[in-house]
Amino acid sequence: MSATALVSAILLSQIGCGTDEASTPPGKEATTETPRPDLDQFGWISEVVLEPGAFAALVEGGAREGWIALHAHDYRAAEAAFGDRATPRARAQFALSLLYEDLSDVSGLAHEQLFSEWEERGGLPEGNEILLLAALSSACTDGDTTIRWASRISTEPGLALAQALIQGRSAFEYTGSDPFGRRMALHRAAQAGDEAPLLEAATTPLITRKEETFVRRFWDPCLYRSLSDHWRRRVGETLGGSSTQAIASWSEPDAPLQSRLFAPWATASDLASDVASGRDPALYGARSPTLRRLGVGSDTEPIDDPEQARALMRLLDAGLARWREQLLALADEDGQALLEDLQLIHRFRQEWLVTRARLALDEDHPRQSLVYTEQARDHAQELGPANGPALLALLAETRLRLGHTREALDALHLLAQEMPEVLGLTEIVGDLAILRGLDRQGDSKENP
Amino acid sequence: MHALMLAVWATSAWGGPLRYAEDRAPGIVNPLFTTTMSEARINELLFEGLFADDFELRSTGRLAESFTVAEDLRSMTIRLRRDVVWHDGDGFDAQDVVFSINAYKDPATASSEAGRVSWITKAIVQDPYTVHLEFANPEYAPQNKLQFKILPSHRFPSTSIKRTDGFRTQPIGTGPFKFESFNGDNSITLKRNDRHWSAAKLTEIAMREVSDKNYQARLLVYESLEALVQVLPRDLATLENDRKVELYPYQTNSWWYFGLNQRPHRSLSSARVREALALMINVDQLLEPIGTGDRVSGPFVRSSPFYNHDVPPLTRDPDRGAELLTEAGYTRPGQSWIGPDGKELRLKLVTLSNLDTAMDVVINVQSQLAELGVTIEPEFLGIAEYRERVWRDHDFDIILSQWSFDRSEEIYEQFHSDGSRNFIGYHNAGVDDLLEKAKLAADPQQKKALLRDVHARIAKDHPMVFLWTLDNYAALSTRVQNVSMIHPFYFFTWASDWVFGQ
Repeated sequence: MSATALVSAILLSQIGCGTDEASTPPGKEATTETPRPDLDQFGWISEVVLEPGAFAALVEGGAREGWIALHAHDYRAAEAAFGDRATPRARAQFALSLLYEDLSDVSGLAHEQLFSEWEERGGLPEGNEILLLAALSSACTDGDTTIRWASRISTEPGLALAQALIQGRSAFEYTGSDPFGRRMALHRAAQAGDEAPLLEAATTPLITRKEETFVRRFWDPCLYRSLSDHWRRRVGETLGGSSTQAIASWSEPDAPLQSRLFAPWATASDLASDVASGRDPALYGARSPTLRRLGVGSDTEPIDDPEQARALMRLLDAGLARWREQLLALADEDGQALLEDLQLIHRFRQEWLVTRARLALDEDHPRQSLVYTEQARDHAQELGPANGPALLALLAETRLRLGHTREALDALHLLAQEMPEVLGLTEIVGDLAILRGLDRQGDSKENP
Repeated sequence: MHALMLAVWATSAWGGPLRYAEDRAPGIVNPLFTTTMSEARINELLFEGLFADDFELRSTGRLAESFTVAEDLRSMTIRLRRDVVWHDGDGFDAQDVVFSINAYKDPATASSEAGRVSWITKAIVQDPYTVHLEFANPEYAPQNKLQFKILPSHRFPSTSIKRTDGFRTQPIGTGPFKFESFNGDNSITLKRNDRHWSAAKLTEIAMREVSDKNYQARLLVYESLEALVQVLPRDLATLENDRKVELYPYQTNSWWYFGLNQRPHRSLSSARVREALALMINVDQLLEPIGTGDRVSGPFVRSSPFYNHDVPPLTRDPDRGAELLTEAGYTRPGQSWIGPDGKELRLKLVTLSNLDTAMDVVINVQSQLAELGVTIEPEFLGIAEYRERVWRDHDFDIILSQWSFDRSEEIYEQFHSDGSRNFIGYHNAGVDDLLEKAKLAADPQQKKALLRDVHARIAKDHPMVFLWTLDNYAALSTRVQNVSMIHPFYFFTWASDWVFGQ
């Protein structure tokens, strides 16, 4: 993780710069006396770049490790490192809840497509447990096939759970002694605040069945739903009140920098606009008024036109390039160094594009989402400051929605390298990719 | 030379051809004998299959208008489009389809693509625009296998077609672009087929051969090219930061390898010697000049569902390599290893000429192995000689090459004893059995298990030194617009939509 290490070193050194008054170039002293531009103009980027001292104050005193981790998109490490610093800790928890929600969407889509297409083709393994898995996946991911699958179970094993699903009760209430019951107990524990056992079990298949020549494995389709819910609850616990109320507190005019640093919303007022509109928190930032100043409209297109998305990208990039130049002109040396070394423009761009991609998927515009996710992605084939895990999860979902199943695996493979809990999802998407390729006559050629 | 080319190409007016670069020009433009990706890509512009992938990668009618599959899944009837004409003006009909299938199958043709029609037992013209196909086994979705390119029957006297047939210099297809000229600098010019139903927006496409990858990237940046089909990892950062260039993922599931000729009486017929060689090569050092890439331990890229992650890439261990050579009867009285036959261990390493990255790897491995007493004799061949020496005559000890796979990642032809691409002579009855079962498997989890087993077994046999897979990106000028996606294998499948913007 050289990129992480590099940024860590930079962050550490920059904090040193910012707190060392002697390091301030004499020629820059006058800047403290001239009127500073409106810090809201460029959102949190300008707060960091134009007030490096304030940024230094934010990250010093034990919070440094947490911010380094959050900058590296390592939300779990950030969550642990922030300790009793409620706001940044809740930020990490919120990021985890969104990531798992994205993964839950991928999981729901993959399971539904796998089971439906396999059955349509013929050969879907028999047995109540397979029907139950399909029903469970649908129930956990707001799918609409729960009853279709569950109603086909008329005998035990699985009947009690199937009935619960048909009646709209939570699957997690099921207390049987079978593999489903044992796994549901872990979900209940996660709901009660202890996600560790569920996370530990994530690399173990929910169903393992020995066939004549191979072992069949199916994975927990509710894993990411529970993890997302767990972390969303933790946001509320950390800040007090419900998670929605907690996040809304970050939109107050006097909300501190730590409530938006590295966020997809540039300013507190951007977030206030989302909160006031009652939008899904996963989409906060996607329609930021601040971006209108760059010429990036907040309206979405009625059709899934990738060229419109590219036109938006051109406006965004031209606007961000202007921001960068203006900030470099206004900033002192410390601010300039922070802007460049922490890649703050790239970071804001990626965070915003991730949210915009979510919005595109929400509006059933996967081709536009493909433009946003591909444009957001750094070519580095690893997670870290340059590529966040939610970006890869959304890229996988986008490709799945476009029928590019094998290509979705490229994104999931990178995620699974750092997140063992993605292993099962990778296997299921792999099964779907194979299923869809069964009737193809493979083609191979020399040279790429 | 480079500066001159740059100046000449830079004079092309906007709105002229879309100029794209290949490392090597296609050796032949005839779908019967396609073996390289550059040939497959140009075929995609010139020729059509009965079916082709739509944006969502569903096999949908191209030359086929509609079809019905028999209830027993053992035959199908295809109705053809009536508005298709060949580039020379002749009408396309059912005879062309039946002729093409028979030409691919004809043993005298020896098509490298014969495997793509082997599942069809009979093709019958029912009427001028209706074809009936019968299959060897039940086919659930036969349209998925009917993407091979259709040839004009009126241009050939029989289904027995030679590689040297004049068609290769005057290819006739039904595709959205038609062949205009082979040019002196190895470039190829295609013009829009105005009679094609897709009404392509680009008027002309020009393929340029540029073997120097650095130079390819510069040409794109200097606006002397509009497309690179393959960007080296080391150039990604430069191109990513260029506002006039857009990167597109282009996943060809490619991996690099040294193929070891294990036919009888070859030094590398011994599994011990092959393993010794594999242990002596420092793969990471070979990869360094190319950029970042993922080491692989077998015949799949690491994100493949078939990749067996329990098999780690080989760790370099020259001492163990020396032990294995000793066990195989080799001695090292001086600088070089001497075989049981009293001859020095000298290995002929063949690769294509004019590929700078491959040449770097060959020179590097030659130097690595020389230090360990193994002499490598590199031979850089033109594509015609490469085909004869490698594909036909199997006259080599080692080849350096890359395999690219479409999304089904079917390795049967490379590793089955009877595989048409198994020119290294690999034979393992157990692997043959698994590959045959995998080919027929209708259960995705069973197929996955079978091919992961194949991966493990092949890794043990060392028929190849598996090297790496690189990040696959194509790069296009931002002036090329309406590019929704790049087809993950054939690249140009959806190029009719592309248009030059301002």
